Amino acid sequence: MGTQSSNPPLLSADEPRFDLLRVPLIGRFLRWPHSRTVLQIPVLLVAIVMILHGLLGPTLAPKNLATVLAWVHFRGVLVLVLLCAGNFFCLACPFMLVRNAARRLFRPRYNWPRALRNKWLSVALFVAILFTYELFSLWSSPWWTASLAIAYFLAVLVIDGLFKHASFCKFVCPIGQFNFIASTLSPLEVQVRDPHVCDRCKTKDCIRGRRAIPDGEPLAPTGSPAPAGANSSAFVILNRGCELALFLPRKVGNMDCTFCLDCVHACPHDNIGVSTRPPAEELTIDPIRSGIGYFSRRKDIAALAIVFSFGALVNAFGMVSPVYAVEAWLGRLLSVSHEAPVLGVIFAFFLLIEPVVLLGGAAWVTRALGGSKLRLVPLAVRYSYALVPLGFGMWLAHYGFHFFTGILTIVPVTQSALAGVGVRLLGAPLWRWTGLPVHVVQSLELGFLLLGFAGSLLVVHHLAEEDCAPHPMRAFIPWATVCVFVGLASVWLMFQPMEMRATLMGG
Amino acid sequence: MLSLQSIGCSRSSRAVHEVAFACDSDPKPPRIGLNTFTVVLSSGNNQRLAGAHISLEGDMSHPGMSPVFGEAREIAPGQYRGTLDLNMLGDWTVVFHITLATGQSLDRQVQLQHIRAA
Repeated sequence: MGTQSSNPPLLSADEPRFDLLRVPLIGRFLRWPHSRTVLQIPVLLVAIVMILHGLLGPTLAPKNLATVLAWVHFRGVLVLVLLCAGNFFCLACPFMLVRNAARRLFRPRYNWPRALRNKWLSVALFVAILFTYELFSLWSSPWWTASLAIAYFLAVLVIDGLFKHASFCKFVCPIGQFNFIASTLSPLEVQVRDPHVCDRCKTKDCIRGRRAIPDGEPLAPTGSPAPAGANSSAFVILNRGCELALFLPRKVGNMDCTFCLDCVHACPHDNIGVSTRPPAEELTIDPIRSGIGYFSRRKDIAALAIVFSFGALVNAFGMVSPVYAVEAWLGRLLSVSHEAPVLGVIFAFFLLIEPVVLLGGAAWVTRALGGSKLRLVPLAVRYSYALVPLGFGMWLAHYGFHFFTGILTIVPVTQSALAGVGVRLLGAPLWRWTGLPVHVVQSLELGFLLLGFAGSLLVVHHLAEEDCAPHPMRAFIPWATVCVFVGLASVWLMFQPMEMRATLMGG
Repeated sequence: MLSLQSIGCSRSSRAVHEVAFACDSDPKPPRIGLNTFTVVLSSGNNQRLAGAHISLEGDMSHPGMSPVFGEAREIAPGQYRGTLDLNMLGDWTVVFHITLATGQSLDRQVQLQHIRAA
């Protein structure tokens, strides 16, 4: 069992790395304790405008800021930033700004229930959002899109109003889980600069935070717990430690990291950077990870990886022509005319049956070939992470398509929205502004899919070498076959005629 | 004339709300490619409304897709005809931007579901 990687990391700790926090201006800005708030404010304003326009503006999705910004621009920018940099959406998350403001009024009292300290709830919510997206055609409804955003704000306020730390981010937020698993492929990671400095550190402010006694009282020793008998609420938090329980010296990879930079601001030694690392490397190793444990023992995170990977297929499947035929056939088979049960069957196939058959089959063949001595489930869990690059390639291809082909549509929609409140900008709305031609974007899509495919093969190869050093092909071939199957399915889906539907079964 | 599924209207006065709108397409149902839409406008007392200007706009259900545009011309008093090139499979909303001879304007929307290849 590869609980500890025998392969050396692709980049040693001593090699000089690019550190975003050392870049002039950008680094200085990000190290500034209020940088996150400054980034969150414009995103929150955009979210408010989206909600208002979604509820009060045009009902036609292509003309409403809620639908255009959410389903064209936000998703596209999100995956591209994850690919090129890291989890910067969570850094600028507007929900956390509202939460922080609310926490000035209401201090959470409870710890998140122990039974829910895993990803199962958030995986279920991730599936629920994908399902709701299809069932209610969220992309075609400004009202539903705005309502979803409002529901998100309310959920954050309720959950983080009741429970301490970043319970919503770590255990609930479906967007956050998407970002966490996708950012395992990002080139940037919040990392310790010099581990020796951490070895000598007595205060561990990166996890504990820093507090002080208010109103001129001397500062409490940095990072020390509140004195016995003292009311901890009497202390002012100078800097939060990591709310997601990631202890930087033991942190491995981007999983569960919101890039909030609380640790950067808390570290008294300026020993934390946002530095480069080989994308996907963290999927090839299995050390114990602070705040997470071993990937190979986390069935819930493996389930997240599977939903992320196969969910990309089902999400794209909903937008191509064959879905009509499949829905109609299923409708006749089940003798139903409502969309929900038919969609339920499609989701069960894509997110349950297909992964079980593919991963279970590959695990069985791997054992039969002598490629691993692990039992079926641990073996499937271990290799499920290898599908993440393929899934990310599909998300990039899908969301990138809408983003690049519709990138300029924000101009006329904004013009139209401003005209609605009496502000005329650049004349009549430029409705003919759209984006790149489809044939240009299709080559980008193919590039994303190939990139994901290559990434998955690399991860599989790395794991196979570790599991079966004398004969890595015994483990590589079954899992590479799964990658080929999923990769071909992705390419097939991407080149099906797109069918922009609002309803599947005319209901 | 068999009307397509018409939904909604916007902007304006009682007089505008009393405008009856009927729309037909050729081919029927509409398909990928050039489609001709014939619109009949009449007033509350069943009189055809001549001299209006109608521009057509086709939007997909998904944001970010390119809309298509067309102009209708009057082929008989109160009867107007224009074409739209529906260039993608799926669900479309056709918006008829209408300016009456009186200068009043109104929009009418028609939902086109499951536009298929010819």
